[in-house]
Amino acid sequence: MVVNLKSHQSENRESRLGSITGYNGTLRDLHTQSGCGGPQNKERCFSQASLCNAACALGLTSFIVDAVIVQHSPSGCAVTAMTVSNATDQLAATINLDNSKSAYVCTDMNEADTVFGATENLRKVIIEIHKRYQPKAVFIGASCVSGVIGEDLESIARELHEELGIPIAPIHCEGFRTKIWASGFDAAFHAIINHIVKPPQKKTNIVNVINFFGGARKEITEIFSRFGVEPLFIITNTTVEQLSKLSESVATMSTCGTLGTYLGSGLEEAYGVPYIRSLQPHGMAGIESWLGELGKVLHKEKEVAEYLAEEKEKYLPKILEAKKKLTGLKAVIGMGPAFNFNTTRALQELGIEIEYSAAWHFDKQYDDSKAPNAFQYLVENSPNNYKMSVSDLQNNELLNILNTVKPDIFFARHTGSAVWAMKLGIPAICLYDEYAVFGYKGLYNFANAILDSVTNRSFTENLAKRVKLPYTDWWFKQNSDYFLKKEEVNNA
Amino acid sequence: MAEKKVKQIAIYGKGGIGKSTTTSNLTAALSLAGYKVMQFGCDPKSDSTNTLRGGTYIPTVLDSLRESTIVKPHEVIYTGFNGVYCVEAGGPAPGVGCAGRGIITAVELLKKGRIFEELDLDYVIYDVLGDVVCGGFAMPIREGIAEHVFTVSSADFMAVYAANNLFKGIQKYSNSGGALLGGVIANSINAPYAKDIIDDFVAQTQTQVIEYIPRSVTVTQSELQGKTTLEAAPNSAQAQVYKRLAEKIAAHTQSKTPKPLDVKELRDWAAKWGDNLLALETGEIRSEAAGI
Repeated sequence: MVVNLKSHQSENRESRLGSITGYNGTLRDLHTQSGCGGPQNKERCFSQASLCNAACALGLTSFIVDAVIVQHSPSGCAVTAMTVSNATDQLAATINLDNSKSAYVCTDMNEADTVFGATENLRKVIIEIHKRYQPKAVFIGASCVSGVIGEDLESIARELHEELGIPIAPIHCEGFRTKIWASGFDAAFHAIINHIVKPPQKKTNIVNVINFFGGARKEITEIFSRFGVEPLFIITNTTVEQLSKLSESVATMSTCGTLGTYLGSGLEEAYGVPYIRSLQPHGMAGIESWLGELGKVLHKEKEVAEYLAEEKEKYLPKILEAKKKLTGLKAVIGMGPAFNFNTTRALQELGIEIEYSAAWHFDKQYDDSKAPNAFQYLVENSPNNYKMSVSDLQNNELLNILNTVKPDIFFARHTGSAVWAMKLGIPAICLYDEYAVFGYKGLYNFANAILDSVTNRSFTENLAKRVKLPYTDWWFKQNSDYFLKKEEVNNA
Repeated sequence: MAEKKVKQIAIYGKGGIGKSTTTSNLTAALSLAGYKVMQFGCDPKSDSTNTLRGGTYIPTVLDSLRESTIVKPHEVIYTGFNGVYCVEAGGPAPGVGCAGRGIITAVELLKKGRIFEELDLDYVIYDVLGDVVCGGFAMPIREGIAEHVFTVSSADFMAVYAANNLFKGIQKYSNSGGALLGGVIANSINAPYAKDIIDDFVAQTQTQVIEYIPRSVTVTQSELQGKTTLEAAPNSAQAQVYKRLAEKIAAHTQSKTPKPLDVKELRDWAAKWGDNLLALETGEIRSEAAGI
């Protein structure tokens, strides 16, 4: 176990898990390198803009229905508030949740605050926000500025916790701490475990399902009822009260290995709640592993096997039919590592060949010190040793790869990157819904969506004809790893 | 008529080495020589100009920043002994905020206001806190704010270490229009070996001693009255030393890039002097360092 809950802050992924953002090679070479103290991270001599880990940390926590985020930063850092404010309202409305106690505010640090320190201002903002919204918890988001000048967030949190009687949890997501935005998830979960989760009073039949938006809430609730358990989809649209009882749950599982590792391992370490290590529920092997491992923990192997058999009977013939039309298609995939590996496996189940895979970072291990199951599965089962790059969403590299490979289709998880492939005339699917490939049924629907995309190409082709890309011919003639420094820098 | 060029000088040195004392006496001496001088204290303690103002504190530039981003000159510029202008950058309370950023902000605020030009100054003398520990403390030597840097150093190793660090800072900015080194003001030089140590250090780093200032009880007596030596004891021998320093600095025109010692060189250099001093203490006569 490498989750250190005694510290005020989570360690970043680079040092905790040996994670990297710079690599170019193949699937199995990356695996080989991971086994010998590596992989070595390759620095870039040129880098496009990427994402700050604060966006992950505070974006995620802002979806808690009765907590307030106070970002202690200049106002520009609080851009995340713009992207989440609509989504939080819409999601809460879909499941009839009152999120009037939630808010996302910023202390708007200015030059004088930087020089003199601004913890008193932070204190005033939290007291005011407590008066206005009466939240059940406040998360203080750190920033580069508050970090550089050494603002004592822990003391403010402790004092205000005593004064206001609610958890005040600093999240140490200073931007300079890490190049891997997923370190922000860890920072948020560290704060939740240490400040929100309470020791268990009893054991419940709840399974913590770590995910983003709970899209398959209804379906999973029905499935789990067959095993005598209830899912709690965390942390979006959960209450502070619900989060405080995560320690009472019977198990924790995740739809994303990247997202889940810190909270899953942390709850296991602190409160003995088993964290289910498995493939994520994408496609056939995924759902079999995901529910199979849950069945073992719950001692419900028989019930799980029955469910899987029913699904298989219902959908496998249809999947095999669709597979005939998809087999031989060549694809490029560009996603965060966990969704990348799990979606790749599902695509291979449909007979699609991955030619190039771009992952937005790479964890050689999770917090159990073992390689991610989904990565290990591909190393052992992928029919081809496809090319792989690791970048923190360097769009220039992605476009170079797409332009060189010219695949039949591109798979993304971020709306912004899908459209870039389309500008090159390559059909693309954005798997924004994390449950888009959930189990047998999801795989069948996904197969149809792919077929639809590669068949109906006119929009993509017309778009490509009318778009002038910002990249030069020179760039498209270079290798995509052109900007990776040749000397290797070990940041493990 | 061409606009008069204000001569801007930054004085650095380890904390407690007598930097503010030396700077204030230099300011006073330049003023008595007929120049219009401003002393700009760059230390959050904001006590650089105390002895020019009868031991009193003045409101700081950063105090005014709390109210507004535009500095009103009358709020931050105070006159002291013989009409010298006194400014204190100010800064955060100990343990909070960022003093380095404070110095950057304070200097920029004053620059923006074109206050130096309006006051028709001959000299601005920055008295900068301690070591060049971060970017803020390098502000006066960056971006052509000061042209000449002098460092106050005694013969103590830690003072020399701080001076050497300053030389590194100057060297770093020397190619981008930063200030260059005028020389070392050797302070508290009484023992014969102290002069030898400083002389050796400036030789190693290819700079010069601009003046030797002996330790003197007159300075202490003056400071206890809240005054510079120039004000409290203008006819004393020590006052003449400061006047000589002022004359040399007024005549100084060409500063240079120093050659700081690297970590190992500095350690070896210190070890050599450690041996020499031990030999001196035990009566071994081995060099001119014995002062014989």
